Amino acid sequence: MSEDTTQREPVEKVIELRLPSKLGYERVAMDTASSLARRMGFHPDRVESLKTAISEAVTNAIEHGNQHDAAIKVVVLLTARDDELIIHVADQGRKQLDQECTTSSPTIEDAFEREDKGGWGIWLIRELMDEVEFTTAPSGGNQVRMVIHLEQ
Amino acid sequence: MSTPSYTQMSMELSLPSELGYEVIARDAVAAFARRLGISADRIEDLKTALSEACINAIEHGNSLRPGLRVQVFCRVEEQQLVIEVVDQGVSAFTPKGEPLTIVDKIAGVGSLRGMGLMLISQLCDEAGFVPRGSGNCFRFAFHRTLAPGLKH
Amino acid sequence: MMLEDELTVSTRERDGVAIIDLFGDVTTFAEEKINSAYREVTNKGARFVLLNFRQNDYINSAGIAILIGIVTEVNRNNQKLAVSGLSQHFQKIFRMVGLAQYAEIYQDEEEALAGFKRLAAA
Repeated sequence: MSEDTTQREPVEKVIELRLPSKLGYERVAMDTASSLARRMGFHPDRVESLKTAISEAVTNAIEHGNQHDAAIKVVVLLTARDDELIIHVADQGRKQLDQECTTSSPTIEDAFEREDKGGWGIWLIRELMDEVEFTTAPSGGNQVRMVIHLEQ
Repeated sequence: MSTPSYTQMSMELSLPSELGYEVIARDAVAAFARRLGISADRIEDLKTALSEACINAIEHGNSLRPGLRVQVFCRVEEQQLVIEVVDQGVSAFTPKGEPLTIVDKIAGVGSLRGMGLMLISQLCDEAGFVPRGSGNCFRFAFHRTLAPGLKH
Repeated sequence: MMLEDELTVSTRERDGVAIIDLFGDVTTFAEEKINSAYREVTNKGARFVLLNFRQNDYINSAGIAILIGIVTEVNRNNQKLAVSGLSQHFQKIFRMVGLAQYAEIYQDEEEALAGFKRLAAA
């Protein structure tokens, strides 16, 4: 039996999902991601966190990036590796994401004073995922890359 | 009278051509169908039909070859939800009746041997292979009878 | 055609507590229903308000913003607010956001009513 001296390449499985930009369809992304995450062996708590984070990311893509245009798509890429799940959510960039929004830390006390009680989505993504990065998609739109590590 | 807006509702899913991933496709398409008011019973039928179609694509159309993909297209039409499962056509679809190969027997996972296509055609309102440039395309449809209480 | 109306909101009273049942998705589409249920119980003079959720339902950040709006009003109207029936995950989210400081989190309705009873007696 010969010795295999080549480095084992990390195994990566990709699922790609293209959804209409209409509120409600973030549920499809949530169910798809949770289906994959459960089967990868993630703890139910982490699966729930993933569902919430992906829900917020896709909702942002629908509302801001794609301006509720049902004819254009939100692209969700799920990359499963041995020890982590990487999620990319990209929109068509009808509206560019203000980078300032990606670092805000809202507080409930501030919210009481404001008319608009929202702005929690991005903050929730950062709190719930292990790695979060806001960039530009290959298509030119807004993209968020989230990573959740699989605890052994 | 057709309303243009909902013919824009379509979803695309691309998955690794490996047994086990049809389960993810099933959850994704079920979530999409739920958005359309399709009843829970019919959604269960849809999930089974989709699983079978994907397994056929993985095992037969793609001949269990690693590294290939299966695509699932979901499209909303006025009266029905149309789903197409497309493989990369390593092997063209042939009707049932061919003997099981050793590969079939070893694989043996999930697919109801020889009954898959018959089952699908019983579960769906329409089902069959449609011509396509490259790859096999299996198309099936579920009529959308509105659940009570829905406005349109 | 599209299931936007996936939330049912209803109100009832038990042991002096106005209970608002929220069964379904709490998202941006929930705003009108939740606000009007809250207004309804407040107009009837409710001092104790319980938001009763259902374990498997989905609450997103837009829904959380609506609930923060309710808390804002509760603070103004000198009422006491509690929530029950939330999944462990959403209890965690409520705590993260800071809602737990303004609304007591109970596992279920019975626990919430007992909690309000203690408050009323104090």
